[in-house]
Amino acid sequence: MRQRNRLITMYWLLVMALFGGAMYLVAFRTPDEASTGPIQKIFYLHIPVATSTLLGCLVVFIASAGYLWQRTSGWDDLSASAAKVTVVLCSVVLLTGMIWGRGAWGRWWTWNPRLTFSLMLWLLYVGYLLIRNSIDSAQRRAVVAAVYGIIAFLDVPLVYLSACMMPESHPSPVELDPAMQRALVAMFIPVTLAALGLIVMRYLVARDERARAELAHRSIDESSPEDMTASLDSMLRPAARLEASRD
Amino acid sequence: MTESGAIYAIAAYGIGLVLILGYASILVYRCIRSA
Repeated sequence: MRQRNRLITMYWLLVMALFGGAMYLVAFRTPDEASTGPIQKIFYLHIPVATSTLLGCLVVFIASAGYLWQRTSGWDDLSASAAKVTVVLCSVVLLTGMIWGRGAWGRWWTWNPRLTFSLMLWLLYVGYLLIRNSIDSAQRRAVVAAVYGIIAFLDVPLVYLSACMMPESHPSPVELDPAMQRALVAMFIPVTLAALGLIVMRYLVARDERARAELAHRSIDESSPEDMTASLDSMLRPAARLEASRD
Repeated sequence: MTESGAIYAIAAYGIGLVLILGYASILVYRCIRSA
């Protein structure tokens, strides 16, 4: 366990160092784009986070299919973990996109297809988490969530294709000079590592919580009636003593 | 225009990195505590 903690700390220190390097390249080593100016630099973060969001959706889809296939709790935990991370990443995509829209178009939001499908994606995965919280039975929750996770993934191709089908609705890809390409690649690495790290860590927390809950459940099942009476007695004794002292 | 563009870019990076790294730090804490 100590080794796991050390590994986690080292991993996140590396991710933060890579973020620092990428930020340096974006801030000081890339030219401003000719037509839009420094606001274009938002895209060095926006594009990698958007790609990682779609990666998170893919993990939810695969884990949901895995659960329906094998019915093991590991797939269910992975699906729930990836959905939580997807909501955080999709929030970053929407917020950075809105800030760009405010600076470039003068509006926080327009109801064009790509923005609408992205908002729908965010709502779908928030809905996934709400559905999970609203079902008490663990097995029923896992099955409903798995079916929902597969259906929610249908929005992903729509987000991707909406820009190709309607190019006027979203800034289209432009020719990047080599410094810009380097900065974009440099930002892709820590963002992707952070997204994968978040999913794995959320999964580890979920597994630890499940193991602890199962252990507690088993210890209640295995304890004899005498043990239960003794522990109840020890819990009630101080209250009885207090009652007696009052009398 | 250029100055306000830079301010929007800084705001976007600030919000984005705080959300991602903030969530990561919460998970690191929970992961280390639950181990």
